[in-house]
Amino acid sequence: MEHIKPMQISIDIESATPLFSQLVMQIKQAVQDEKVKPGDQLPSIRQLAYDLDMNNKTVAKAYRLLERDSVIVAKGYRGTFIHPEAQANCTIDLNKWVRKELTNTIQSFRQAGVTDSEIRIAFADVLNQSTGV
Amino acid sequence: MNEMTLFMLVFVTQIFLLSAYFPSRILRRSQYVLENYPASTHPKLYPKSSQYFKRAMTLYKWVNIFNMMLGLALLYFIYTGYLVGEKGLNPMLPWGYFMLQMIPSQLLEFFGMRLAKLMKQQDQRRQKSAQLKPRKLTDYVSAKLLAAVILSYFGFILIGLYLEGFVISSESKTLVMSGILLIGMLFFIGMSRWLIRGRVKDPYQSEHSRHKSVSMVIKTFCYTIIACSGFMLVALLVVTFDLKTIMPIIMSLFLQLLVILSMGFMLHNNCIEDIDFDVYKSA
Repeated sequence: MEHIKPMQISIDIESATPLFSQLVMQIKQAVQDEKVKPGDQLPSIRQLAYDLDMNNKTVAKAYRLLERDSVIVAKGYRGTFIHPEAQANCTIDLNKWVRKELTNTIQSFRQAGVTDSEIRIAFADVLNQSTGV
Repeated sequence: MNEMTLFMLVFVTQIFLLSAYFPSRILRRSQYVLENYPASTHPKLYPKSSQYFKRAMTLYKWVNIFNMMLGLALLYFIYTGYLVGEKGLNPMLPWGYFMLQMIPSQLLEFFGMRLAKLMKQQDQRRQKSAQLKPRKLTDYVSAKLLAAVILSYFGFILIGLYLEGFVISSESKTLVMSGILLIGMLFFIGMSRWLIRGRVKDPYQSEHSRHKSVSMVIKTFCYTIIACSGFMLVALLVVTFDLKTIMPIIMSLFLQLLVILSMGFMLHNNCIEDIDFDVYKSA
């Protein structure tokens, strides 16, 4: 039985970048570099957590974010697979989009004369209301 | 040659194979590792000094020597008739002794797990890596071997039922034995799953070495199940044709076969030269 070397990811446990972000970035990078292809199966959350010696919840969070970005798709008990449109979806950076939208909104508030502390308080209130805190 | 003489000959091979031959091969292997990959060049291999390693091997050696002496004592008591009842020798005697002979191997296993735990605790590397691919049973054993395991199980049931005239009842020995075999199979499936998907024991072990060792362990599980199906069938034949007096001989031969298929297979195929020891060198 030939042992084919599959794609490997590497995590720096002492890096300032959160572990789940490192996982997300590396999986997206692997998709962009075509090291994993649409339809390829990914390891289970538990297998990856065991191999990287990290908590299951960290890997689950990374998988959740990748699923939200349509880079991977969970198919119940069959496992998790690379999304058919993963290559295109990898280029969509939701964080960048959020920053851009917020910059525009804050700019219009400032133009209207709203102070930074008022914006901060209002932002925190709205954020807390929306998450039900 | 009567059955008792034949049993004694077979039992002598059990004593020497399991308490002398295989242990000496394991000890030679350990000695080779100590000499060629010492703590000075491969510190990660010895998380608790090489003395600890040597002590474990000494313990292993003496438990085996004790087992061998015990085996020879049992042989003497069989020869003098002290252990032979009216119905002949108890077929469970070779099995009971086999369980004792397996204690040193369990000690080694326990020692290996303890070493791996210490290795993990001392692992200072910042980088952790993993493969982005799910591991499956068929990555480790061929589909043919898995099919052979299933065929041997159902083959046993079919032949067993044939011997019993296809009478299915709660007293059917075939059904009871197939139940025991099924429990054994489920145990091996659980163990294989744990080996394939479970936590990495040795944090430094290269992916290739891990793949190879897991593959070999699962193959030995498969061979063991096939051998057990064969043994169960022979046991059924012994009962059917009332050959109970040869049962201790068959039992001892079967246990020796099991060890050859597991320990012998591992020692023969997992050559020490093929193991990547560079991963244990100081960074």
